[in-house]
Amino acid sequence: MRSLEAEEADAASFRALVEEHSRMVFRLAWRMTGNVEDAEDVVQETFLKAHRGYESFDARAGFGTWIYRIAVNCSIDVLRRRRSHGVTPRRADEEKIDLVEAIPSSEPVPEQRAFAGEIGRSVASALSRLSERERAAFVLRHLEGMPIEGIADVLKIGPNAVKQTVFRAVQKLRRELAPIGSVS
Amino acid sequence: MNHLDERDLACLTPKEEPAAPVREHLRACAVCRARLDEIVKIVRIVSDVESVPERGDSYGGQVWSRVSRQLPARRPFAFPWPTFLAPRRLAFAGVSLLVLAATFLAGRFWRAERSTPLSPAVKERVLVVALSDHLEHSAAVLIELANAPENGTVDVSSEQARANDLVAANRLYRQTASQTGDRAVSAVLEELERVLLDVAHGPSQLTPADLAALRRRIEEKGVLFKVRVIGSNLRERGELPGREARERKRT
Repeated sequence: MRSLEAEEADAASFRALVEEHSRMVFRLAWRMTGNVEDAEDVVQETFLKAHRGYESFDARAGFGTWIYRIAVNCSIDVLRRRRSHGVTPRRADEEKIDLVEAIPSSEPVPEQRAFAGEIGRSVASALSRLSERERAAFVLRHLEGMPIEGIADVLKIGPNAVKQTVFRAVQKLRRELAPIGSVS
Repeated sequence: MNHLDERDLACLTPKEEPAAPVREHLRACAVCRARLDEIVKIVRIVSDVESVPERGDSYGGQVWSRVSRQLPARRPFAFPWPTFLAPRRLAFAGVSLLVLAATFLAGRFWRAERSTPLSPAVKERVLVVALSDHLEHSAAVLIELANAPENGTVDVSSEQARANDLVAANRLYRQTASQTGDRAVSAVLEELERVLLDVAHGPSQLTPADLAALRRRIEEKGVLFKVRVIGSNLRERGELPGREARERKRT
């Protein structure tokens, strides 16, 4: 029988874990799902699953990787649900992405805005055409900067399979985004 | 000329230095350079759009507030790696550590002519204070490295000197924990020692890449977090104030 003191100590440890990793989990979830609402759901679900699944956690393994794995899996679940319900990403409409500043152009502002919106929609559409695993591998490698071995650990596949998956993702994005920036 | 495997090219990222043969090949091969440029362009387009909405410092607290409401009210949470922090384990670990460390500590804190034996309670408290202080100092070094500015080369000679001082004490605590069979405590101190050694024996001028690698190591292993939790539990158990409060009290 665990004492109240022990329970409080454990709860304090978990709270510290949540507070320390929330922003990292949100960033990953947003990059995986593409919108704030889904990302917030992923953050919450990730920590609830971490709480439920503590028995499966290896004390010697890095807990950052463990949380990453849970967050990626939660995000993949959201993407699968979205795909099965035929829901399209809402980022281009929902997020306040100020691409105008990023475009080196002297064109009038309304045209810049239209172009920026177009890029945002194209990228969201291109990303939505990736499989869940391809998106995860691409995001982890190129946006999160995770080493190949780390991605292999998170996705539970071999390093060569990670490279193949990233390659497929890049190929698809290249095809989809070719009209932007003439990258064919 | 054999070109680079496209799968390898697709995984190259500016955040990581490619292996020397890959670098050499890219320098010599215009075809592979052009392929890499295309990949970099694609990644840049995606990452420019992927500007993550800001979440402030209080975000962690907000998430905890949402999550905690959904946790089972009566289910005890036993987070796995800090099981050694449970009060019963801590008591055992503290007493065990004390037995083996007493010789060392007695040499430090008591004069040779003093013949009165220490009571177990006093010995334990001395150990708890010493270990707690050690962990606080170690955490302070790691925090300073984690928060070092990222622009240009960073001078960490001060942190390096402190890490060097902490290594010897850490080794003593780790060996004591190991001898008493407390592998969990020993494992955390071992991780801490590796990081301290890396800092102490590494370059005193860190490039942004060196600093990023060091931060990744601290974050991946969760060393800072574990050290903070151990320190916090020791203070709570011994009802010790934090270092700052103790220092205020002294002055």
